[in-house]
Amino acid sequence: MNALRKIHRALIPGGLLMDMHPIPPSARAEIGGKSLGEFDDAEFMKIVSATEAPLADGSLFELETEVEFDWLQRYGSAEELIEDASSWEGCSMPAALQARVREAEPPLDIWEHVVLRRFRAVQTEHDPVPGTGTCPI
Amino acid sequence: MTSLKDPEGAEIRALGALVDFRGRRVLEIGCGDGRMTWLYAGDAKAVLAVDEDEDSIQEARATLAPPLSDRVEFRVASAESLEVPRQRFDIAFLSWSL
Repeated sequence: MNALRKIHRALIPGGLLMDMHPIPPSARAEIGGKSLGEFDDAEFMKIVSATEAPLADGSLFELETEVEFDWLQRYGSAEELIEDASSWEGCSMPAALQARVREAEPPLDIWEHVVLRRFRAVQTEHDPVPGTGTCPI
Repeated sequence: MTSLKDPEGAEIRALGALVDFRGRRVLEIGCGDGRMTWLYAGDAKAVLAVDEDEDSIQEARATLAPPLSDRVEFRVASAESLEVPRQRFDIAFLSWSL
């Protein structure tokens, strides 16, 4: 919440907050359009939900609109993908998926479902000056 | 071959659909190596892009092209530790960093 308050303070009255991050369903690995399986990112999604809660309460920002899309990351080798995935917070790669990835012929694709949300800063009692207009989209 | 992030350009299409960066002062939180910053910095009036990871910020600075160096600043900071004047920015952008 402290971070959101700082961001709110840094914005002009009516300024915009753009928030982009993955959402369910889980990330999946593919090769040539064929699914190799999903990652276990339940823990990550819990982190996202918990972190989003202060935004959703509307006290600092108001949700205006959002767009969802599929996001691709393409790897030239299985090892590169596995090493990269090992660093993802709250996300693990099931052993069966890891085995299929190792056997697959690159390029290997990871697909994630992502949301981009546009929020607008709302006036708070802490704002020193009444809003002087809003940021055009 | 290093991995290719978003080779289909889905992020910039989504951003273009929801926000106009032209002439705006932008605060980007969690900029990493600046991958997202380069998608909109050419349109913005000024950009302050921050990330907690010093190596990523060094990488971002290393790829800062001269035409943008007078309006893009990369800084090591988190949203919590960031010290910026009140009402300095038109847009805040949390890029995969909530």
